[in-house]
Amino acid sequence: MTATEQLHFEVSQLTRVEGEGSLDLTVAADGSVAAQLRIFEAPRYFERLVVGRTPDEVLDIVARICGICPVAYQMSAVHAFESLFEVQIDPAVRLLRRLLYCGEWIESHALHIYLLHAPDYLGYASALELAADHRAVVERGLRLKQLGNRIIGIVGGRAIHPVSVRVGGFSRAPRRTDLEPLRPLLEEAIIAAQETVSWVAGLEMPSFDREPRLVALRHASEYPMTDGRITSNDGIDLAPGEWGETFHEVQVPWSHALQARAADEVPYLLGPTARLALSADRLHPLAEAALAATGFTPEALRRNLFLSIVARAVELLHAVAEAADIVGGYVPPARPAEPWTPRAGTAAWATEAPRGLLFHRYQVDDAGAVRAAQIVPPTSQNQAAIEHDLELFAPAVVDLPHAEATLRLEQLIRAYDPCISCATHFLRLRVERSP
Amino acid sequence: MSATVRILACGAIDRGDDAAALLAVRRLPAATRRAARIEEVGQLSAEHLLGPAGDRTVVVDCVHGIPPGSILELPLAELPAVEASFPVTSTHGLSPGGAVGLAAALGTIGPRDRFLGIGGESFGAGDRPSPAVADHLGELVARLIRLAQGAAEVDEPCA
Repeated sequence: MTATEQLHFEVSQLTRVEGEGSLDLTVAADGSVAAQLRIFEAPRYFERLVVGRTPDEVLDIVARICGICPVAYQMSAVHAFESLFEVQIDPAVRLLRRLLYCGEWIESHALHIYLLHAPDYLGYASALELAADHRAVVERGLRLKQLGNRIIGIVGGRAIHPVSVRVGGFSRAPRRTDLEPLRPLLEEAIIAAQETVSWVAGLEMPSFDREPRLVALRHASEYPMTDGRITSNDGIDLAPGEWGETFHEVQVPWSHALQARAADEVPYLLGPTARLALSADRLHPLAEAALAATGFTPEALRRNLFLSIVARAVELLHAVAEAADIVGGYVPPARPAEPWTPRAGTAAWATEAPRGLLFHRYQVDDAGAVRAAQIVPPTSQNQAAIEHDLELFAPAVVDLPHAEATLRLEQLIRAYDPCISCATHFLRLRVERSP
Repeated sequence: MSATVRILACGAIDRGDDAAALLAVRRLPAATRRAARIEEVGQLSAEHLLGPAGDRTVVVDCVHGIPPGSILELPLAELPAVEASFPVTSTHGLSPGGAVGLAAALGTIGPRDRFLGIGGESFGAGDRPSPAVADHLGELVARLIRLAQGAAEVDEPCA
């Protein structure tokens, strides 16, 4: 690049991500970089669709936001309502919800690791090409994904867009015999997940060193999933319903998805890397041992986003191992759901979706109907961090052949595992009418 | 040991003609239901095609782009090529042809596996199946029974 040259990189249709977006990155003659993650998938209006609905209806509606992480939407919503209505759920119900969430983490992480992300590090354009040369590897990934879906199907009523989660518990709790077939499958899956960790740790990943702000739930004794406090590596510490105390949404002209910022406007990173860096001491012992065997420290994973595949694999193992523990010790709850009474107020909660912190906030009236809603998905929140990382990473690749540089930039976006379809649910329409 | 026929029924029960495959497998006679392994899978994924070795798979779904109510049967392995002639786009998952293509790359589908489709025209949320599909549902069921019986006949000598 010469001193007077301006470079422009464009990925008109990001591939191997969920949903529709593009990248526009310009390197000015003075070396400054401007990146825009253009999310052009149409707005989906879920925040309006839930208005006037009862809490249990909301749980079914928000599950439709995503076919990959519907449980996350149900979990953030149900905990928000239960917090407002002061419902104390049965400990067995709480474990079932963690099992359901484990199922989602397993299928989502397996999908991203094997079908979306790994091809980047092995030189393949798609999972189809990868499968032709690495049949056993892809089949292992698909079997893990299949197990995750099966767990969701048994606990949630169906594998995609589950239907059994209700305020106070579940519409139906599985019997011990319902979960029994999972035991041998989970034992096999522990081995497959351990192999996944060691396999991804051996992949050749690009270097990229930076100092991100990390935000994730942290729980007193467990790896964060359904509850805990919203924390960061630089001192943020909020109750799970207090996201709005420190964070806010902003609209940028190039994206149909709202972005999110901390009060100081510094971008922040959510997801497996953030969770692992902030809660490595809460990992299941099998996951902790597998991480140690890779030689990667949480600090190393934190600083290089391309290593997120390792963090995701460690979490995959954590989810499989925790699911095996829950199934092994399962005792059905005395009743599937606790009774509850609606009350007016603000219902707010955050849980950990596979891609990171997912915050829900609902204004509820005396009858329990929703009057306003705010849903802040992880990909929305990660957008600013993606753009910031692209600007930091671009100087290292701009002198490569244009197609190669563009591919490297696209790979950085994929390392975030963005779910664009989740991010475009907002409602902020301005209608201008002529007089 | 006799191989089993797996019937993977795709679709959504509350989306008009997209319910056709689900309605068809629910109408199968008891003997066929006992002989076959029936799974209602919603959207077909490659992992659904990781069945036990020796099983024969029939994927049944509603198809857009052929006359409503008409029946389409072809080797499952040909689905990606047929699908390629239609303008199929999705950024949210593999299409049925993509899932079959991935399974083919993994070697988990064979020459005896079949695709059975019925042409649909109406897919609205909450809609009932169109008259064209409702009128030909019996034909779809009959074809499914024949495919399931065909599997049993093929497997008889090995039993």
